[in-house]
Amino acid sequence: MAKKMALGIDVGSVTTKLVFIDENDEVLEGLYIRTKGNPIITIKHGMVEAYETLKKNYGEIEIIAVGTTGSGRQLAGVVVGADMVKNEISAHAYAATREVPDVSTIFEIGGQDSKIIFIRNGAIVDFAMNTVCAAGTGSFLDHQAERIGIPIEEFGDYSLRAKNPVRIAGRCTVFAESDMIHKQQMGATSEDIIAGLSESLVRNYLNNLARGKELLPTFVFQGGVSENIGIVKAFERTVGHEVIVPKNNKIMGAWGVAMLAKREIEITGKTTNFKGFKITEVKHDTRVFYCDGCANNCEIYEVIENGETLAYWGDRCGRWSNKITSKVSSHATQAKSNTK
Amino acid sequence: MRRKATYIFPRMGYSYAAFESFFQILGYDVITPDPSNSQTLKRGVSNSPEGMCFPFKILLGQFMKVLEENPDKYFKIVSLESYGPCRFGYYSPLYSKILKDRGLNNFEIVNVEGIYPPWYKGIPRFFKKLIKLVGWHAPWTGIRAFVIAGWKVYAIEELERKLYHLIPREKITGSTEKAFKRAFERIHHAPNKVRAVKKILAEELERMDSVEHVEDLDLPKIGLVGEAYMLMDYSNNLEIEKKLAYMGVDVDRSLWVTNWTLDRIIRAKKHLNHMSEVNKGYLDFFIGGDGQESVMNTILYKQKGFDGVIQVQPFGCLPETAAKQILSKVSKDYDIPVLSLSFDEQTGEAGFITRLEAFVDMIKERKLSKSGTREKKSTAVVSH
Repeated sequence: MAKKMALGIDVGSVTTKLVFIDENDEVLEGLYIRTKGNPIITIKHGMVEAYETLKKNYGEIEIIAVGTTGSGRQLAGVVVGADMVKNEISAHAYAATREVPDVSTIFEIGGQDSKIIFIRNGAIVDFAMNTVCAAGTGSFLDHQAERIGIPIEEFGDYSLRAKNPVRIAGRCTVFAESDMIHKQQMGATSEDIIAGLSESLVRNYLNNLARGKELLPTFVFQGGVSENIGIVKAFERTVGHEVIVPKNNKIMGAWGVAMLAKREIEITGKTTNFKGFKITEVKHDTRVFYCDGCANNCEIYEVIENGETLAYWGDRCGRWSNKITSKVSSHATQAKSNTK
Repeated sequence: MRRKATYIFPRMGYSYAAFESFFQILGYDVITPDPSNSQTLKRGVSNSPEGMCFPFKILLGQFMKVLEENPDKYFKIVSLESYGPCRFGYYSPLYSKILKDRGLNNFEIVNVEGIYPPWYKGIPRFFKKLIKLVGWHAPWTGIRAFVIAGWKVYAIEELERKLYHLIPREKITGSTEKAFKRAFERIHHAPNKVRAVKKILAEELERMDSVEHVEDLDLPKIGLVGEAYMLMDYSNNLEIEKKLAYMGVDVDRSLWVTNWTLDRIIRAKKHLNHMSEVNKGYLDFFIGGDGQESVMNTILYKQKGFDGVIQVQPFGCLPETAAKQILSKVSKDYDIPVLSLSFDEQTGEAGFITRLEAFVDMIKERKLSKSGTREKKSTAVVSH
């Protein structure tokens, strides 16, 4: 009999995560790939890769549910045929509470956004997301690693070796960079600069997102940046408590949405919308144009599969998106029927 | 000889239809500015001081576009005026200066303001401004214009309320919106007679009610508070109400043209007293704009049993920024989640939707955990 699995896809700004889980929500296969500006191709590559490994390990496989999350969730959802398209805050929180049931505060830092989620008794009670500033997110660290000339993977170890972390102005990435260059030119070692940067990023993160909020243990830190041991240590020093990095730290969002999608299917008893692994062979195109219907001049995005339009979005009035209502609005009607 | 003036007024959501009628009844030409779009925003942002309030930039852009496109007409720009302490009080002189600097001289600005105490100075001042605004008319024409415009505003608001009530309950996605559009157009072009407006309103409400829907749904309730202009104009708040409604939420807006005008102009004193009573210990003094109202309405929403509140805030708005900090205390003391969203021309729709969805998820979760059942339910994703 075919092995039953659920798939979770998290299309982030910098990386795309694919997770296959079994019926007990355990991760069978997790992929972490750079998006490189083309989410559709990345997803397809990831699916081909995962399919081969899974086939080798488990023989026949059957996908029973698919969920997508992350900034590219809508696009991914339309392309693969998702049962659930979920925002990343809910997905991350769900995965974190599954892994660490008594979690109270979740720090999540990804490629371009950072969030803090407050959990009480297993439910989200508050959250904040960076609004105007991307200081301290993965892209910035990536860029700095490249500039200093050390691989991003070793960034954390460098900061642990620091003897006297220097102070870096962490309020704004551009000023942080000028400050780092200045300190370098004054003769500070790379180790001290990196350690100082980690400290200032944590300070900036907490200042931006956790202002006036109560930080209670247990703390969980996830997202790509949690790979960086230097930042983890900086968090621990700042909050004065142990910070747990879960074992699937990089793929929590995808894992969370896979579980949510699977549960959704179990509750509703529907069959999945998943289009099968064959979608990796189908040609997908996207097109952007400006609507000329009124003075709003909305930017319309069109997703085309083999010459047939799958979805439109971006219009305010529904002139385009309602054209294929029957296909796309299933989410809305589904959710509404759930609330009944 | 004075040229005949054409009126332009700030466009606020759907209420523009009523203001159009107001000036038409008085016998003036009127041009409604476009809703915010890339062209008006570009004009407004590039010609305003960088740190200026976002509504100022929006309105400047809208007025500028109309002035530029009609160089041969003479305009009277209707602007709202308040006495400080926030920058709202400087809008009119600034418009005037910036537009003149740009070589646009075919306008004058007329202000509307409330009756401020003491009444013996406030009332004559109010009428003086009013006469400057609408010119001399037979009292009957003036009253008629007010009454009919008032009825139209009321009718439009009733239709809007119906719209946001029905969207989360409709069976076919988009059917209510279609009905609403039709109803709005009928009110917009209704003959300027109270009886006609009343009749159309009754007919259209009935027609909207006949949209296939499930009436008795216990949906999570979210209240909207914040700066009046951003709150009332759908083209600037990225249609937050409609988006929430499509996510399966009962959404209620705290400020409407009717209650805002009444509270500011006619019931000013009573309103202020009520506000300082509700806000005791939080923000019981006037800080300009609608900051105080935001705090008050959050508390009132909690008392009315709402599950959450969203504060709509234009980027750089002083009163709302002050209110935001106080709201986090209110949120804690009254145990009601508050999400503050700030809008400007850079606001990305994707991040905005993510926050809304997460907030709605959270509200639903809280509602369920309160009612005892811990089974989670999903949020709709609508790609408008």
